[in-house]
Amino acid sequence: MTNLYETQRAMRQARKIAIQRGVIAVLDVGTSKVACFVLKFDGVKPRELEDSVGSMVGQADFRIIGVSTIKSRGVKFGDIDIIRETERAIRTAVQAAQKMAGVRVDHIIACFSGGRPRSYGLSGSSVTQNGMVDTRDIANVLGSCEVPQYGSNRDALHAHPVNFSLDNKNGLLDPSGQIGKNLSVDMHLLTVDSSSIEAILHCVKRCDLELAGIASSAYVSAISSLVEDEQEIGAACVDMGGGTTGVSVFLKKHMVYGDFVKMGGDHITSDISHGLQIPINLAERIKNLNGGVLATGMDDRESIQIGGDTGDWEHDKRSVTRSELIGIIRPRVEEILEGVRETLLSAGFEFLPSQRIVLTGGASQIPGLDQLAAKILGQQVRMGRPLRVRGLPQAASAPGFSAVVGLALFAAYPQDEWWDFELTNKNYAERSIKRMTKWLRENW
Amino acid sequence: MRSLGNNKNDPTPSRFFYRLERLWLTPFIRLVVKFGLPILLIMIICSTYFSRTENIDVWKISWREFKENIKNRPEFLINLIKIDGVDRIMLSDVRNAMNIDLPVSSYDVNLQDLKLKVQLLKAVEQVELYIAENIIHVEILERKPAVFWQNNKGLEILDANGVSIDAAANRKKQNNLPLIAGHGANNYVKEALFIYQNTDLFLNEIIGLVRVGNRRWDIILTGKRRVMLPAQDIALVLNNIAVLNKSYELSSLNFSVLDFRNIDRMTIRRGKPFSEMIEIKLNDIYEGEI
Repeated sequence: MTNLYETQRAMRQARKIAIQRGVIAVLDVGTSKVACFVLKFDGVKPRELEDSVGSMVGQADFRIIGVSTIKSRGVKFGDIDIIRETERAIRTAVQAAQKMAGVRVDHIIACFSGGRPRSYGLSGSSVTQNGMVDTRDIANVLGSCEVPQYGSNRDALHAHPVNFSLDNKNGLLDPSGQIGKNLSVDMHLLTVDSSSIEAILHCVKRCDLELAGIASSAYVSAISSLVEDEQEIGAACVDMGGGTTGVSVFLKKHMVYGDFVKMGGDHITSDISHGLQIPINLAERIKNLNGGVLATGMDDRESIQIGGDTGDWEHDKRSVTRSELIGIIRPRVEEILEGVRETLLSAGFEFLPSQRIVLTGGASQIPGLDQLAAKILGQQVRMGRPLRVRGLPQAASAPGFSAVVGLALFAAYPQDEWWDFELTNKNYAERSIKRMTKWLRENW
Repeated sequence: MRSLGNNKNDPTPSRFFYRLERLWLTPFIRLVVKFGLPILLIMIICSTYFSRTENIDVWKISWREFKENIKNRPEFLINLIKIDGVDRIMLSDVRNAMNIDLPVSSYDVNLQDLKLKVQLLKAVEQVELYIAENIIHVEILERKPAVFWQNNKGLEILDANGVSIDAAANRKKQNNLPLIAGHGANNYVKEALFIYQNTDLFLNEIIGLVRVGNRRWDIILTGKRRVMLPAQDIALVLNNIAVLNKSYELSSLNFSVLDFRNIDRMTIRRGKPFSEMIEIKLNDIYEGEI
């Protein structure tokens, strides 16, 4: 844990340096695509922008100057499967974005959806040292949290202090400066497989870049697609990606739960491919052009050429109706949404004050999904799109880009995490005494 | 397993080209490659080329030729020197003084220098030089000979300001010019001319004026006669002489010296044969007039 603490602190330092230099890249390593943005921090205050697009929700002191999206390679279920392939994909994406931006990028913040994320609720309490809470007390109370045994091959990806309570006062976002004695904290810890982080680290290092942060894509896509009041009163963001569907629950502007369903848009494509006996890329094309989840009478009459180029006339002139296509797509979508419902159930989502569910991600663009989702997940379902940020091209404002846009916001305005506080646990004092005795022994 | 290595359709840049691209995007490297290296290359080439003296000479010669070519274009060539304001005898003097071989480029002509050279000629009072339409115009204002000056070196022609124009062997050429003599006479040419103009009395008898002691003038008349003038008030004396002449026809008197040096006491020295006559006349003068 200490090792990870140091790595995370180093990444935070790298992020600071990058922002001082003014250029940082964000990278979303997904199952179906790799997207890279180059951000330029020019320090323009939102008020100084006399832009016709209106308020930027305070997200205006950076600008996207380079964008590239390419097909992902070597990624399965959000995890890097073939490192060399993924490294090439990242290299291509970074180079294209760099070229568009015209600047060299040295620091990169990455997000990924794999690694089997699991979230834990932690709590800890300690006594303040001199009556008034200062940062050291906060660090103490964070250090006092009981860390569950999440396994030796897993690492903490996020550790957000969600709620502080001081004596009788509860629900404090920032207790520093308050007078009180017993300080306790609720922390949300998200762990992923160490191997996933290491694979990304390896790829980034092979591209001569320095990793300045790493995030879960469920978390960052919620940042960009949930509006402020949804984050405040509670909402779930369902990021339907290619290989996985990430679920994150937000309350009081903090992520309180994160989970995933190991199914995504690629499974729908492969269902179509199997069902209609067509190649994967044709299946993808048919899904994108003619896909849907709600069949009407009209769809029985609409036939789709699925053909092929085998030379067999009978085989190459096949066609299906749209109803048949929907009949293949719908069960899989229902399966995904039911998986989401189960994760939300296990998260205790129904106890939140608001049951808003926001569907985003590339696979959420299937026509009719909102109606189907309303039947499975409840009535408060809406489709989410990424927030507007300066310089975001129209082509990158689709739901599929909510993770990478959220990552840009994460790069600019990160929430405080556990490693943003100085580690002042008891070990440190012990260590210094040990060092002193060692020094005495060696010299006297 | 399919080979992951050589996929020709792979759009991915190789690591080498990826690094090259990143290097190219580095501002410093970019500056060096775009400006530093070309400048360095040019400097190296130039310095190696010009380190050989033959090459420098080649460039020097070609530069000189280039300059000559421009200079010797017909637009800049001067074919004629036009000298105005002097007679034919002076003309060759001026030409010799200017010492220009025609045709010459106008870039090689130094008008200031030429002006000084011409001005050094004694007979030239003022000179203006200018170049117009491939001709050097020399406009000279010549000194006008005013008097002959006889000094102990010989005979000189002076202008009205007393500047020597030329030496003369004799007075035959310009017989009408008056003659002055004596040390320092050249500084009082104007006075001498004034005396000449206002002495209508002996006009045909005057041989010349002599500066005496660099102080005053004597008018030398034919027959070894002379009129002595004072140092000051010459105009008054000349006027007196004119008045006297009207009354007594001084020229008809037989005298050797008319002494007006003292205005209050004029003296006549008699010529020998006519001494009596003069005496009578003078008595008249003193009694009647003054």
